[in-house]
Amino acid sequence: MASVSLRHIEKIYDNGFHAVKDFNLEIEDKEFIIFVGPSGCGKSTTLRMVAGLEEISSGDLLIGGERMNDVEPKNRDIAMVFQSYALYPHMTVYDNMAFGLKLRKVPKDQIDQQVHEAARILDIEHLLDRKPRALSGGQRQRVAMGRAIVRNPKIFLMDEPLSNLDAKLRVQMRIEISKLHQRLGTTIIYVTHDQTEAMTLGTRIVVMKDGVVQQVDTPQNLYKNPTNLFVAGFIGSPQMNFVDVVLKEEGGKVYAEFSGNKIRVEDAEAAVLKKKGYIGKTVVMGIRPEDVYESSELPGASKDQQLTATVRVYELLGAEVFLYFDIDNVNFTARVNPDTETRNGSTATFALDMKKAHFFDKETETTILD
Amino acid sequence: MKNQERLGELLEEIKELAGEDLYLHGADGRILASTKDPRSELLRKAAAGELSPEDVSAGARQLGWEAPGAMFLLIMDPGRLLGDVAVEAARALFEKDLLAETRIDAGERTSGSEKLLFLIHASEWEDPVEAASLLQTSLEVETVTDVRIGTSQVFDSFSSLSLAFRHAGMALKTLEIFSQKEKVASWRHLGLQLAALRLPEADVSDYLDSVLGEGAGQIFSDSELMRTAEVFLMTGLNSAETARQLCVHRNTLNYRLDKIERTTGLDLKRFEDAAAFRLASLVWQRKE
Repeated sequence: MASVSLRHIEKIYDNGFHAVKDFNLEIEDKEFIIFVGPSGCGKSTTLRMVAGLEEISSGDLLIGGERMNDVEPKNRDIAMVFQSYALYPHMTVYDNMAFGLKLRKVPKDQIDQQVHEAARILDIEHLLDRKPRALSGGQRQRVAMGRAIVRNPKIFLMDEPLSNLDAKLRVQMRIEISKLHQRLGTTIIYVTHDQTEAMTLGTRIVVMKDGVVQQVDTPQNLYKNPTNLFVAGFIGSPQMNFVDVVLKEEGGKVYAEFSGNKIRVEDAEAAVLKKKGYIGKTVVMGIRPEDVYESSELPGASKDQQLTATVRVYELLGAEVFLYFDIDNVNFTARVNPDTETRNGSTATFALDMKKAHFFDKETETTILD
Repeated sequence: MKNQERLGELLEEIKELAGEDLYLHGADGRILASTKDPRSELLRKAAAGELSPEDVSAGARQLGWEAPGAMFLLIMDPGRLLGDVAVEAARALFEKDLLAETRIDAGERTSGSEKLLFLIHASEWEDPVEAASLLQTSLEVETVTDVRIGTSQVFDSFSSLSLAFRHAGMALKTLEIFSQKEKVASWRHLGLQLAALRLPEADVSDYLDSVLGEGAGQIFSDSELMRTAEVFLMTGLNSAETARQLCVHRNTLNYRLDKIERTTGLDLKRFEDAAAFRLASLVWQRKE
């Protein structure tokens, strides 16, 4: 069993910097969990505490139910993969993969068996006699993973392992890592700043900011039901549109007003906003670019969910088009049908799918519709 | 060669009886065999300051050890790692480029106790930082252990060994004082850290007062502002990239930079003010 429990984990450096604050997480055996967040949010520090490379200031770390705070890193049965391949240039792929086992005085025939097994899993058996300089970036990264796999650890810790690869290779390796997880059936904790990597790889994602866990959820739930403004903005590309709106009630309906626009809030959401006392107040409304349509593309769109604006930038990505426009200095993005005839400078009418709108408290920045 | 091996074996046997290391010198003073690697011993003595630069050169000549050309020195704080494992990894990594290695009790010359020294031929390693980073990452991956490494500049004469040790040691010391995350530092890249380290103790408070006024404590204890300043400096004073990395709006970034300016009088968008702020923050870290 390689479950991992982090209970009230804190990291405070000697200079007083509070890098991780009250981190709580239960990771189940064989889970692929992602720590994601902007630079300096504490994700790598947390991973390094699990590894034993950083001391835990307070709280408990359990692996397989056993407290690990004071267990030497080498005895935690974990293996790490970093963005730097750290391969020995003079050694063959075989020797690179075997080196860690040699340091641990593992018998030769066992080393041989483990290296070949890892090479088979990674499909690099034909590369075993090559030296690193004769490998491509993707092959080197596989060898780096091979060095971890040969140790047959309970848990893999991966710290931005794909950051050194170009965009195309990153996509390929993402698929490889996902397959690897299925084949090995091992718990993986994976750190990245890239939300696409997080969304595509993780069974669950931990979003962090300033050392604090913002939300722990499945990729789908994070996207659909972000608990606060930060998560809503961080997950999704292009990011969610945000606009400050004043909520007003007229004739039993609730409207979100901003810059002369008056958008009707759906009845179910309106009921929650009313119940929580937000009528008359300013809140942040969020709506994803794919929920902003050109009005002709949203059947049944009524006038009170439309707004008109001049398109600033038309961006064709092949299967989709992004239209960027401003309303009173607030930037909006719409992801629309690639057949659109709207171009830079066109005046267009957009319809918001208000069933998908999010509302956040202006002060606490937390979601109102939970 | 066979004779030398045989002499070595005999010396090892005598050492068992005598209980201490032995050297067998030829008539011309050259060491013919020893129970200790004489090159490592020379490296150790040079690092410990037991030999003058001229003596180090003479000692190398005596060993018939010719300088291979460009070299550099790495000094490692092995942390919890066993020295033997680090040495084995360094041998595997550098192979024939590892000219000598030794262990020293660095005492006051650097901040910890036992350190490992590696003298590397720079033939395939143009940049000492590249070599040190590879060794550090390899050890981190293979042994899950945190080691820190300071590197000297590249030099080409054994007479520079003591100086190289001092520089590599200083680089290691800056890691211990100024950096929680970085694991490798090079003498050549110390820059402001060196200036902060060399500011006389008596001038530290005066310096901070004169540069930052009373705002120093307020700014340096505000982790959000410090993180903002750090990323802003790291990105080459690039507002858009800083905002992206911190996931904040440009207006939020500008607000924070303005707050730093209001409190310290330093406008981080100006290079000179940014450099002054960086130096002051290092001096503050040293003081803390």
